[in-house]
Amino acid sequence: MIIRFKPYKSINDLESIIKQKRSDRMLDLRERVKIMVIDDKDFSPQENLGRNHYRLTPIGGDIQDINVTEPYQVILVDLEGVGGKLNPEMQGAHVIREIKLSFPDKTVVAYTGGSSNTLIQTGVLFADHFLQKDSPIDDWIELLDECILSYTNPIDIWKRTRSRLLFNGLDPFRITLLEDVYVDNWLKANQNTGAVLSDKVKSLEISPVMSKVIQTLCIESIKGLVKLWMEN
Amino acid sequence: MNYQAIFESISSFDFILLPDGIVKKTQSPLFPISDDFFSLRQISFYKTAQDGWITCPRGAECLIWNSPWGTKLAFPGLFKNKIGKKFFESILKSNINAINIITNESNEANTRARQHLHEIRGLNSVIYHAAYALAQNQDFSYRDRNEKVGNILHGSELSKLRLDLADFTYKNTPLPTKKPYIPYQAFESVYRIMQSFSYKDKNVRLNWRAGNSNTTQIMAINGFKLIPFLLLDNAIKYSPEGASVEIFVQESSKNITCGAKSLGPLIEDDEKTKIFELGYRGTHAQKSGQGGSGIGLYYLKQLVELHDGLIEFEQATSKTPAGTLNSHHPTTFRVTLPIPTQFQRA
Repeated sequence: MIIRFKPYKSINDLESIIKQKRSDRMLDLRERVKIMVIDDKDFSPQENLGRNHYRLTPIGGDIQDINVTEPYQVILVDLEGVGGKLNPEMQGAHVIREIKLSFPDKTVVAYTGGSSNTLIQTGVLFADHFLQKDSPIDDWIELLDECILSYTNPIDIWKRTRSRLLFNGLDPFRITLLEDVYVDNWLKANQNTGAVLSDKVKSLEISPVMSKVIQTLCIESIKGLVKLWMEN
Repeated sequence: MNYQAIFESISSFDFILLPDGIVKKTQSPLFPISDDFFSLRQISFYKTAQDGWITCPRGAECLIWNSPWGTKLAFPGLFKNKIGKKFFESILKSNINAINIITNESNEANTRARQHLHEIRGLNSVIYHAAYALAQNQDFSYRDRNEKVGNILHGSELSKLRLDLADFTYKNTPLPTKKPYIPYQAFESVYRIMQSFSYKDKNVRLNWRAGNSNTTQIMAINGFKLIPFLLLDNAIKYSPEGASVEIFVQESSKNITCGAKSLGPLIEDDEKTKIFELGYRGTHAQKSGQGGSGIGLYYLKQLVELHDGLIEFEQATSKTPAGTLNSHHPTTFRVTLPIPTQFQRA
């Protein structure tokens, strides 16, 4: 029986701090997240986005193996004229579908200048976001920042991990204990939050499958982030 | 094909292609249908309706039909009695082929429109980002500044060519009258416009091989530039990454010969005339993974014929050291334009 008189810390306790610091940290965060561009044409926003500190890597439109996307967190895919060797009919929509099937945690943005309804509908169905090819730079920035934040802010990272743990059947009490350790260490700006969480996972005798979820979705994602977010 | 006759034979069939919502509307002398039946609200109702006869929100009968070729159609504003329904179904069955032709035409027109939109939006994006970069940064070097200005100018010129092509494909403007024109200038201008884009998009280098023709005139329509544009667009599109495309203009006593030499996908013997047909794409061109709808060469041929010219192509198949066919082969598209007698040199 565990008796505890102070309330467990919840992810909501971090929310206001992160919200406050978000605009100050954005440039550093943009440089952390690798973005791949799959487009058969020159990606015209690249130079202007690069000047705004985004790390974009265009790979052309002739993608033949979905695994090339593995090192990137955000993938921008033109719906028209790409992935023709994988599926000449569905083109970019097929590429998006394959990426989401192989790497469900990646953020995929579909964009186009004009495509068939089927391509757009399928693309939008599988992608996380959609944008017109000639959207103004502010729209690109707003969307990419949203994608980057979902990868780099500790709240989203934890919420993603938590929902995966619940889905896999970890009991809510142990999730509460893990969340308490996670939030407490973030609030203390402990740069070894990942290691502390790892120790907690061991002490709670969490199964290897669940441990792997925590390791990949949470501990690896927060490397270097505590310093970036919590330092004054 | 006499489309007017087909329309007349099914003149009572005002219909809507689903799910795109393209309305094929004819002036029906028998059963004129009000525009209300084609409102967005009505179309969204048809889209979700099941197969068969159904009463629409306006209170009329509508037939939703999944045609044998896989296109879902809605025939709105129809009869309310059983005899009328039977009569309509019998006309429908006897006109299946005609409807198929019309729906295919609509689908092709839709595909062409999308392709024009896609390209023009892409160019709009190039222009926007070049202008944005110039507006935001005062410290560009002379060379960088010139590159941005070049992107804006060439992006705008390329947009105009795309829009001219759209006008030509949709016959939006009456064909302009012919005027004396120097083809060399058109080729040189299009070469300059497309040079930077081909290099940026595919690392394809354009080489200009000027012959002895640089002032000779022919009688040409205002959209003559579409000829070099379509020749180069086709050559660049199917070239492998990093390859070269050669553009040439030469003159003999009676003709100007111009064209593009590049590496292109194999064109089988039985495809040599088909590639100039509307909507046809070579099997190897499709396998190359390059998008397209088979309109470029069709309109190129039409434009060349408008100038009483001839378009031909030749391809030399090449093999790998192991003896198998390469994926790309040296291909030349050559356009021969006659020089009118008044412009021929003595």
